[in-house]
Amino acid sequence: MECSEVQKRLSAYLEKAVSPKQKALIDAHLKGCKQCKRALADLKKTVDYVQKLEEVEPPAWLVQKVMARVRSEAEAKKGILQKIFYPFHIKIPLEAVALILVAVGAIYIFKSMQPQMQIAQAPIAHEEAAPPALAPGKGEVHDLAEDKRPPAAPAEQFRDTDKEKARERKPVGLAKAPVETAKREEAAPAAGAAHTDALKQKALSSLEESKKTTTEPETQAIRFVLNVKTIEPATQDTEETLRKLGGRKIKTQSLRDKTIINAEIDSKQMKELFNQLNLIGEMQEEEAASQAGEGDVGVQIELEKTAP
Amino acid sequence: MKGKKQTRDEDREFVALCQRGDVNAFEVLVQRHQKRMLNIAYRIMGNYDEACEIVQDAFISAYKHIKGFKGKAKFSTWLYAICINLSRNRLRQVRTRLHREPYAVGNPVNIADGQIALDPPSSDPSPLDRLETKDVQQKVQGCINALDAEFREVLILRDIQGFSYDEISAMLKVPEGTVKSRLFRAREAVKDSLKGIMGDL
Repeated sequence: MECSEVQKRLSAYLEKAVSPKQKALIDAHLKGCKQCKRALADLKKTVDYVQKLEEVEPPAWLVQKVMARVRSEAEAKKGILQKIFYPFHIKIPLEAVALILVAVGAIYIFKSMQPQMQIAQAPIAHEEAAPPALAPGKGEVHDLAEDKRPPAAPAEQFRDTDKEKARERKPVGLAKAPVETAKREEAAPAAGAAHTDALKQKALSSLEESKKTTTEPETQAIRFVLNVKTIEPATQDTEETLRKLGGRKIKTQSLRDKTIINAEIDSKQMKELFNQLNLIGEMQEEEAASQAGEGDVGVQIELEKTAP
Repeated sequence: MKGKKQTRDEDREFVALCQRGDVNAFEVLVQRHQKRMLNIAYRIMGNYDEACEIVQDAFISAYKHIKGFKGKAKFSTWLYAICINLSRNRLRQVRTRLHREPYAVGNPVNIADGQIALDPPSSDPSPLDRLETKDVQQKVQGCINALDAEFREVLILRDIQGFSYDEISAMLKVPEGTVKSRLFRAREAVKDSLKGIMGDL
């Protein structure tokens, strides 16, 4: 075995990592070769030197520093994961707390405001209830109104119901009625006077009612008798006139030698109708033609052929 | 061979905890391996502060990728491989920087299969470092520093850390035969440079 080959294997030889056969060959060579022997010794020493290198101790802070970084890394990772997968993980408690705070705050504010709100509402309530009784004395001091209120209450009530009655009648009553009620409202007396006023009103309305019954058209129709040359065109003319004047329920009844037209017409148009009928034919008979009432009035027009 | 046996089961248990997000389990692993990691990094770098930085980075990197550890090799092997890789990368940066500095340029020494950049031993004549052992150790470290990374790593892992050939081959991801031949060359190179520095061994 040559020196170069032996020296190549010395490293392995040193660690006893050569086969027994090779070890025997190297051993044999080393016995006779000073150079290789020396190389082995040097190698041994070198390895010794290297192995003798002292170990160094890690600084005390190393673990802490590593763990601090690891923990912040873990936190950051968690943070990202939470942001992606649990966007509400931390926010929900926060939002819930915020919501509760807002709710509590709102309730507290509401409660602390309530007395003020009652104070603010009270006068409005009085004014709503009081005006009918108060109307004339509106300028009065509030305290006074409050004092007056209890005795006024029954009268007021009475008045109110009465007013409603009046309102019910209005559509059928005479034109005067609403005017009168309005007048009464204007002149709404103080609490004490209310009662008598109500009585007065009652009487008045009953009077109106009786008036209304007298003008009821169905029972008493105003009767006209017209003499015309020819019945047919006159009938048409009459019907036309009635329609123009807003007549309703126009009913034409043709008999042998005369035609009877029944209709309802606004009493205001009565005069006009009278004039128009005079143009169509000779007014023979008129009954209560001058009687002008309120509302619709029934009319009966008889068309007769002029006697030759 | 110093503290070669890491009980495999213990590491496994804590690694599993870490993989489930237990940070405290990782602390146990850091406590357990920090010294070895630091020594490996220190011998590769030849600089204590750099080594500390590398160990930190290595642990952080290990933590980040711990879910990728499938347990094919021992955890320590995996962990040290990270440390060696980081050291190697760092060394490359430092070397590039040093090569630009005129005083750090060593004389290239021809060896059988290439060149070894030989740094002259740093002869800091600091009064505190006058002790001979310190002096020798510095010289040895200087010789190791002069080795190329691949030789240096093998020498450190084998002669200083006492790992077995298959462990080293797992860490460096090279075949065992390569580990052996690199070790031989590394030893020869250190021997030669030590001879050159100290005269006779």
